[in-house]
Amino acid sequence: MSTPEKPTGPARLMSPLGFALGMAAGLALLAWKGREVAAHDWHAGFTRFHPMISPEAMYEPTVDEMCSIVRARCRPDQVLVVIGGNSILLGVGQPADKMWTRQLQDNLGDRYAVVNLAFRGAAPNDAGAVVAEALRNEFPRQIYVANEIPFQSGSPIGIETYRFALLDAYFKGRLLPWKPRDRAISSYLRATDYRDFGVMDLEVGAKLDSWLYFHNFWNWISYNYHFTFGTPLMPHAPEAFWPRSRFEDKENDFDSIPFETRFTPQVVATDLNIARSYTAAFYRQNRDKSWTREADALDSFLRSARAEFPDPLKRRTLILVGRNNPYYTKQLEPEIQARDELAIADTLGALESLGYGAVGYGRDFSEEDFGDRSHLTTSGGAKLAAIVASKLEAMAGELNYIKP
Amino acid sequence: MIFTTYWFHVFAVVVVAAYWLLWRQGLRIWFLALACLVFHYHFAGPAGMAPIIILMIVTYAAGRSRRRWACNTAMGLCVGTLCLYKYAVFLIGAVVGPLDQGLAGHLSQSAVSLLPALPPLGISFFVFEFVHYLFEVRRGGEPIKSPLKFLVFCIFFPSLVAGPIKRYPQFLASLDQGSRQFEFMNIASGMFRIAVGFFKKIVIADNLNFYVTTNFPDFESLGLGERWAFLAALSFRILMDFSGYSDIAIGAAQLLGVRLPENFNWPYFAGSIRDFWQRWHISLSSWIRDYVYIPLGGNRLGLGRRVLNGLISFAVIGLWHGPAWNFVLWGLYHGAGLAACSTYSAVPVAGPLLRKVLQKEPLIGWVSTQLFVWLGWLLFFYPAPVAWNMATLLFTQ
Repeated sequence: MSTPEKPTGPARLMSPLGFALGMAAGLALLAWKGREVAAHDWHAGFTRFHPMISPEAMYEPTVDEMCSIVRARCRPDQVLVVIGGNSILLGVGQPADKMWTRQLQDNLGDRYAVVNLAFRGAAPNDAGAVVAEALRNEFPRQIYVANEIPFQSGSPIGIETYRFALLDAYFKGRLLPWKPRDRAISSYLRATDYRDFGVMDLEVGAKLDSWLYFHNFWNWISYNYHFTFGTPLMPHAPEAFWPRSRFEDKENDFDSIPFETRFTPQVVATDLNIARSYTAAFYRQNRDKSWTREADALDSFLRSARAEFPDPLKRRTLILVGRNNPYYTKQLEPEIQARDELAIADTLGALESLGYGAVGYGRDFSEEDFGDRSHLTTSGGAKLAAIVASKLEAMAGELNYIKP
Repeated sequence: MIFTTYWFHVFAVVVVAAYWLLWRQGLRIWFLALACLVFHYHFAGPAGMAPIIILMIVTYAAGRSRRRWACNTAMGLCVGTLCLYKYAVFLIGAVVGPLDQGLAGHLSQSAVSLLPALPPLGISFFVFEFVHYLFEVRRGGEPIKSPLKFLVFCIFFPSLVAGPIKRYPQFLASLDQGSRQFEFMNIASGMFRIAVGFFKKIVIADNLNFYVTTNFPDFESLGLGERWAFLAALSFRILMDFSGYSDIAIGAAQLLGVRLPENFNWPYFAGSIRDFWQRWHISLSSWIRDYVYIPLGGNRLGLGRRVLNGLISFAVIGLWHGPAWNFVLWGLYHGAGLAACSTYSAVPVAGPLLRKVLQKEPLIGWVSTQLFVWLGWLLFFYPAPVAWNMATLLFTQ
């Protein structure tokens, strides 16, 4: 630069050293604030991650933030029950005041604290699982609950949408060493398409955040003061820029939506097909109409389910395996219904053989208990809560969390 | 966007700090070259880097030879490589398509299967800078002797992805002087410029982008005022996005003591199309002027050739933005606008009258220029029939 610009205005008063120190101090202050804010729960009245505080509205809660949510809701003398999994366990279709996890809390009583950290479309080992694992020493008496469908378990690193939580915890050293997961993370971060800057950058971003805590800071600003950009769920100003704390949990209430609206002919046709093929890939039919499991179905499931959670955490992990709405299953041939039952029994058995707690639900549920093919209404949620509470109490006893 | 990656921030902090901690200027230049190679490798990968390195070696060798034929051959190779990677399928469709559809389809398929899905990172900028270098050397300019400085000129990381398009004499002079000693004000003003760029890009452009994307499907059902608001958002989005990017590039270069050419100068204050093109993407428009318009004859061969040369130059500007007809049309639209702007006063009676009016009421010139430019963005962003329909809707209830 031929002639450096002469400082003008306040810059005249600035010395290089002062500038550098100011920059360093500013950064340090922001990093401290990022760390400090997440030490407190800012989600007053939290019941679950409704859409406006979820990734679908560009809000990605940090692991620190979710840990604070848990800390604020679980006393050290309580058994912590973290609910993970997908929209079924999130309680989609149940209003916040009638959520199945509220019922579960009532069923379990004060010795337990239930915190719902499920997200739409999440895998069993996504965000909620990461938080529970990160809190394993702080809350050693904990049970993690998630759901799966028969013979299907996810990748050791969950799904892409919720990987922000996994990488957040991983690079802050909050997770147990677990080879299948460590290998999968490494391969995910190294499988670089040179134009996929987003994936290339995840590792650097997560490592930087582990020092500077800027995600906590911005989430705190976004939740409490000001959101900085429009999202598909809230595209228009000024609402798009409102702090996320202003948005209430407004999940649909299936009970207030007429049956005909939920079960249109098109929806029914699609969901019936899904119900018919629910377990079709894993069994072949014999001449006498009985079913034989496909050769690799069980091994393949065992392999992936084994890798899904670290070994030391399997015993305190409860996996729920659900059935479809009887509105659909009743329309299926008896042998297909039998195949589904067989698949659920085989899946539960396989999970238990790996050390997980496992329980099925939906057998004695009625059509009114489902809002669609798989999500539950308030009455279905209450039935699920009863099944889960009983299983959790049994597991808590086996794990010596609670003396009978 | 490379500048919004965490990697870039970490890289920039480490490189700038290490650069100024080195105690000799020579060491700084070596270090900068190494850092630029690392940057290019990180974002382009080996496959994206290889063609650029080859072109760089050819350009350097041709420049050093100072032979006219060598420079011409190297320019041909550079332009050919750009056409191959970026425009092959488009050119096959445009040139072979009208003659033989089947052959065009076959050739396009072959090109797609042979070429990478995306052209090498920043190839348009590289090629434009190589052509500039070769052109200047061919007409007697001093070639860069030091391979190291040539390397730094070619892959100087702040301007690698989105310019501004550099000129080597100014760049090297700035590098030589700016890398000599640490100047605090370069750091302070560079960081300020970067902050302004990020504000424009992230706070303004990204939100406008969201507004535009969300409202585009419903454009027809928007009210008249909302349609004009959409057009304003579209126009400010591209300005804020691109000028924000340029600000970051210029600011990052400033941290290293290097001054890059300015790319934008309040283009929406322009009072005529000519004025607009002296304020918008300045490094590209001046490149096109120097290496396309003037070599074609510029305004030296009469009114007809002047208009034709302008149209060709603007078609190239359009095509530079991407291999699609709407970019070409956008370029021709501006070429026609510029032709009208620079020739209207020759029209008997009406021309001088209009000139007087515009001189007396500059606001009229400004409004008509901005209207022309903003409507042009529809052509830039959307296929011509869609753009035409949207433009029509701006003037009907």
